[in-house]
Amino acid sequence: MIRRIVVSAGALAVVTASAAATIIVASPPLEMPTPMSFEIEPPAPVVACPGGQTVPVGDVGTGGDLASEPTVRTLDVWGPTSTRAVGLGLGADDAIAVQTERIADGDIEGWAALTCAQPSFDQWLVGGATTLGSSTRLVLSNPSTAPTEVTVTIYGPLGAREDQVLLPIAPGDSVQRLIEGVATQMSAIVLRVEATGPGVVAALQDSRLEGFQPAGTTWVGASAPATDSAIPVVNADAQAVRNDDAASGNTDTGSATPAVAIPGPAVTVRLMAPDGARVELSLVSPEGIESWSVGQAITLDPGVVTDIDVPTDRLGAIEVRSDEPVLASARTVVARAPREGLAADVAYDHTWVPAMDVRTPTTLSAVVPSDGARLAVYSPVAAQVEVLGDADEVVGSADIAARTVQWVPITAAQGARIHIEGVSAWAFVMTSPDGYIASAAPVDISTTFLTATVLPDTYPASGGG
Amino acid sequence: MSTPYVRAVLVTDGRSEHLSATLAALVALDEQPSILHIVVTGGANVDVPEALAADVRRVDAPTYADALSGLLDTAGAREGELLWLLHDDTAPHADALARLVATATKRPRAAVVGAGHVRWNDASRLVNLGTTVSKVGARRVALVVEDDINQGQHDWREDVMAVSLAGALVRREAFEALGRLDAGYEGFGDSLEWCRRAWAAGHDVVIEPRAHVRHAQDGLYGARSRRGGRGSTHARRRVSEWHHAFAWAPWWAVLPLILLIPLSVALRIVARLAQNVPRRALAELSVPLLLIARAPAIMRTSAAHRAVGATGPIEDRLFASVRQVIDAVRHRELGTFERSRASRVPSEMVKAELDAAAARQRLSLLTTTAIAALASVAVGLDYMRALVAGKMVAGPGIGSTDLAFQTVWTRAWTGWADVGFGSAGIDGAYAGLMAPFAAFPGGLRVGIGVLLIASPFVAALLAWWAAGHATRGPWIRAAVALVFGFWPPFLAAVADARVGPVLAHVALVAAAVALARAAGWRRGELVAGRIESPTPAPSPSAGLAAALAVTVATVAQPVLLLPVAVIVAVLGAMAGRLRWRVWAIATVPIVVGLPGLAAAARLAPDANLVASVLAREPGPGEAFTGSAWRVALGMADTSRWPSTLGAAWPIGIVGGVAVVACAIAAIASRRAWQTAAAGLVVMAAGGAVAAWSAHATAAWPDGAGSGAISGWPGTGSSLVLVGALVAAAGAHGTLLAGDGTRFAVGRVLSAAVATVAAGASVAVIVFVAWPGSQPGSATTVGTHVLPLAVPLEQEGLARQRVLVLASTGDGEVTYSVLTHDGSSHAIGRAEWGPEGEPLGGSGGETVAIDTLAPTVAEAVRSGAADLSALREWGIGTVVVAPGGTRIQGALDQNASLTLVGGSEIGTTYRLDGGNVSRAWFATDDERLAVKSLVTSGGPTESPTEGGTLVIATPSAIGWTAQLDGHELDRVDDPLGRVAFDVPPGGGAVTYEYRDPAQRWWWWASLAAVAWALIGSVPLRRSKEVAE
Repeated sequence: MIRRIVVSAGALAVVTASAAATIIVASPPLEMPTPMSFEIEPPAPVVACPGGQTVPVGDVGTGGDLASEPTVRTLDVWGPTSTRAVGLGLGADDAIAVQTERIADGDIEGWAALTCAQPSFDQWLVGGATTLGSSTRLVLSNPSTAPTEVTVTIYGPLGAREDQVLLPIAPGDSVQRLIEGVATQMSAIVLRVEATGPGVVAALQDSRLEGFQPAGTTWVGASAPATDSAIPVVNADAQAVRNDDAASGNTDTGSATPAVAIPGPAVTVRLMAPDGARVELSLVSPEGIESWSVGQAITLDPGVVTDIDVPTDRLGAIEVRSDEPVLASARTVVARAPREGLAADVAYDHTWVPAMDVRTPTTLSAVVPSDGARLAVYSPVAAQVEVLGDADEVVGSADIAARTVQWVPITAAQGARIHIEGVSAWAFVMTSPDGYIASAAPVDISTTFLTATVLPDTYPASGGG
Repeated sequence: MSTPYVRAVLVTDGRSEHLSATLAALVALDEQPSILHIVVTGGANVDVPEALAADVRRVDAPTYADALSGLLDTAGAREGELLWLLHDDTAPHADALARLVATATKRPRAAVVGAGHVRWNDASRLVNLGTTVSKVGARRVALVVEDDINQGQHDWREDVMAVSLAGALVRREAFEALGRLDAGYEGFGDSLEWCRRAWAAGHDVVIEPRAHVRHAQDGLYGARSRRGGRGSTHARRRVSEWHHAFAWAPWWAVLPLILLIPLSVALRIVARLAQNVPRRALAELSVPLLLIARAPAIMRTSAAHRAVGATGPIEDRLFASVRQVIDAVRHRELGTFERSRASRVPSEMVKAELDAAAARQRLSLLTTTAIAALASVAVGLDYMRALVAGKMVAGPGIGSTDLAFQTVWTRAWTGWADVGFGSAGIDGAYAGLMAPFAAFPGGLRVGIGVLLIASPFVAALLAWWAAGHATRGPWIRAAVALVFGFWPPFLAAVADARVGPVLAHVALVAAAVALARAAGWRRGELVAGRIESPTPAPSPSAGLAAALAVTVATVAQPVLLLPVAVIVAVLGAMAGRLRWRVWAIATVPIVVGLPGLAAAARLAPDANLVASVLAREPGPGEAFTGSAWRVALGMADTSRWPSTLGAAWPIGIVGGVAVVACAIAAIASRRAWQTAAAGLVVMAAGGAVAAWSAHATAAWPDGAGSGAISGWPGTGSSLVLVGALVAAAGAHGTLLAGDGTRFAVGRVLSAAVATVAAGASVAVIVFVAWPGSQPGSATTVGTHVLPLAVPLEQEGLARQRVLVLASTGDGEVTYSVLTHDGSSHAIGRAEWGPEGEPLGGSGGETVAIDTLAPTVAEAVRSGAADLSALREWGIGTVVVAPGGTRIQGALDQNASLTLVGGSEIGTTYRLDGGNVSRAWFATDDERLAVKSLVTSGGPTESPTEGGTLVIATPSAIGWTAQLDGHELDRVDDPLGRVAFDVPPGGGAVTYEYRDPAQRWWWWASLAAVAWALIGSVPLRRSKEVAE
């Protein structure tokens, strides 16, 4: 009996001890295998600019009133000391550059500017349309020394198109594709450009016609999806411009016509969430948050591109907040009386300004595109924003209230590289009394090292192979 | 006719305890011999009864034959004299001499009249009634089965090939003419020899079955030797049989007989091991040597045949027929006669009850089989489809399972783990375990697939079998089977393709079955009012089968080795007289697992490291990241179920909780408390194993594609389950045998709990197989995971390695250095310590192996990456898995790589510059590739200016290189590789890995496993063989 009691109690005791030991080490102590991160020195930077804009279609090759090809244009690349040809455009062994182009006549009359970026493997271009009178021309530049293969996915109002565009690009070359040749009658477009090899620099020429009148032309640069971003500048205090010649009846018709009303600037925000999202938009001005009747949560279906008109008549910025990463960009359209044409005609110029992440502090850089370019800065928090030059000297500063946008004067000259640290969103805007507008958004070139995280694993690890 | 003169001769050395009884029997004879000589050898003192008139003589003779000859030489002879040859352990019946004399008188041609030998202690049992031999091979065949009851059934016998001369009446004239006894036989087989001479010389040999002599067989049982028992004389008896065969063989049969010796010895050794009589096996092994020593005696015997004229023909009827030989083997070796005599036929009533019980058990088995088969199909459906489609099981922590048998065998034989950069493996046991699966038609791919598919089915059936030893309740057996076969951690292991834990789960229950049979822990059917019917005797074969099963379990999961050894020790202590049989179960796994223990000992005194090595994962498997106690208790992981079934989580824990609760409750049982206590000890060991596994680092990174992992607590959970089921089922077994309300309530309650547990187990299977579930991480893919030409580079003369890079969804890059078409963890891992010290083989210095991670990181991000490290480790090809466009971007820009091509299974780059190989001669200005295999290379002509032979594997003891047969000196290598100094002058260079410790272990393990394998064959043995 005693033996039974002792043995049974002993057995229960060892079971209890074992259970305690098991519970104490309920979870393994380590993450295994452990990923290893390394900082890799990046290769020497190289940038590419897409080059001059072209008349997409309809160049009848004639002069006079029906001439579509511009005859007066200037194209400048600022920043690098020297450039070289990269296909249709220019490249440079530098971290950043800016391209400005002023076209005085023809179908693509207007101003355009673009910050020339370094090759990337995955980038989004938010802008363009392929409806009647709209042309979207994709320019892909490969300034590197290795070939690349690019896959372009087109997103429209109905979501992503299944047929992708595959383009191989030789080193030092560029290719162009008219998106309307692939996807017609799309009122809103977002492109995703994925590249192999050394990556690619992508830019989108968004040119429009209103009848025979130019309705704006610009370059669209790369955007990045984010959950908390801001489009730093819309409207830009641009004013509709009456052309005196046109107003006085100096048209082809030769007949005197009454002056037409020139509409004010119009702003449209384009949104797309790759995985769907609920988005809240807020319009801010130099005074702060503006009331906006559409300023309520919008549900975006995955891959569906949505345009929303923004009612504003002065400098503004748009905050974009969402539960999932969203791409956003704003198009500002400025009207003017046409150089020639019917009395009722109105010409336009436009520009796209992409949204920038304002959640994470970053250092964004840009090159001053022109002496007259103005710098609009949005800050989500009250801060003194300092604009630093290439040698970190202060070339401009301003105290910006939280959730406001304002012009910040700078002393840097055309072609100078500037940068701003923090969580602000900003862009250069060039406007002219003639009714032209262009903008150049900054890019992040601050990455000193590339980070690679590697971990050992069996192969095949899953369904591969 | 006058009474013949009978000269009785009794030879004794005084050492037989039967002498006095023998002399007393002589006193009691109805008719006394004419004269009785008592020949005393060795100076012994013999007390001769006063009533016995005997001529006592003392001679100095080493053998019976010599003593007899010495007497006959001096005693003179009379006409018609009969010799009555007596031993000091042969007590004739009172009428024996009269009957022998009568027969001798009736059969004047008979040179000898033999007596019937009966047991010393039981005169009704026969020992010998004459013998014969087979015509070919001289197989000795007794004409009666030992211990057959004498009912006069053999009284008809007269002429036989031979009789025992002990107690036989021999005609003096013939005895002298035929050369007396042949001393060359050393006391065994001399009777047969003399009798056969008699027939060959034209005499008869007659048995008188009614003349009984009690024979103690002191010589046969070695009573006079230091170590007694029949086995002690086995070798000499076998040699004498060969002696007889050679002596009587015609000249042309001698060579075939010589060739037959090794075959016979080998077969007999195997048979003896299978009969679990290792001493007999050793005796068989000594036969050839003893036979060589006997050769002169054989030649003398053969010459004697001619000298005495014993060359005539012998009638065929006297020889043993084939049928007789077969029967004799069955009786003498396998004990069939003993068993048939010992078997008891139950009464008709009991038989009817047993038949009814058997019908219930059959229904239980049928139900279990059907449900287990369906469950196996449901769980393994994807695997089945893959196998049929020619695909293989793969996935995280597994890699490829399509490995050639040669690859598996090389790993098992050499111990070298050709994984990543390679390493001296602790042992090749796991690969050895995989070898039978690799031998499947279709290779390891099919073998592992079949294992994973069939394991729930097999586990359930084995559990049903095992449960039958603890309880005869049919429903409880079925419930135990379903719970064990569908144990959630076990199913998770199947779905994750954790081959080791799966094998261990199945092997543990097989070990439980075998252990129960070895120790005789089994219950009989209840008949005639809850009385247990007799059960078979404990089986030594089952003991070795248990050893084999435990070995499988501990090789598959080394973490089980020490806990199982402790459990066996405890169970052995409970096994009474069979304790050594039970304890012996641990010997085989310990021998096989010795390298693991040695590797752990080398890391002492760091307890954590020692524990980790002992809990290493030798095969495929991912790191475990859950809660160990949940797994230990067998709780189902609901994340594997369809998301819609998440609310059913309580069902997933019912089985485990019910079984554990029953096990703990069983300790209260008065009748089964020992079984319950043993079960709880096993449970406790299981819990400890689960905790140990989860906490241990089951494998350390090798810097080339194998990362560190934590162990899988599911193995401990299997042990927990075995213990719990032993306790619960054992208690139920006693419930069945009890009478009264208390027992009835217990039976009903246990049936209800069993129903709930079994139902929950079946539900878990349904949930796991439900559409939308994610049963596990294992997947099925095509057998070729690398682009077509790449494996050719791996298997070519240069034996290049391949670096595979793949992008994960979250921006990380995985890398793996492959020597085969996919990771080969299915046959073992690279076995390194935490600081890069080799764990296996003879150990060795810690080699600072740089991980490949920095090179990989740079290569996948920068086109300017320096890839020379790849070349230095024999990596000539880089493959980017599908989806790695970013990686390709960097590699495309790298000037030291050339894009070879792309396919749907990867993009291939080749390292520029050529000459990438596993081994090479490094000279001042070039590298010359050396022909290489996995663990050897060459011969390759070395450069005349000399240089260094570099083998791109981490340095380890066991690597040697020769230049024209002369050993080369090792030199230090800055990267920690194997390097040898190659002197100038040129010559053929070869290299090889052969670790001496590995070799010793290999053969020791082979011997142990072979012993267990042969011994586990349930070959029965006769009483004679067992003695």
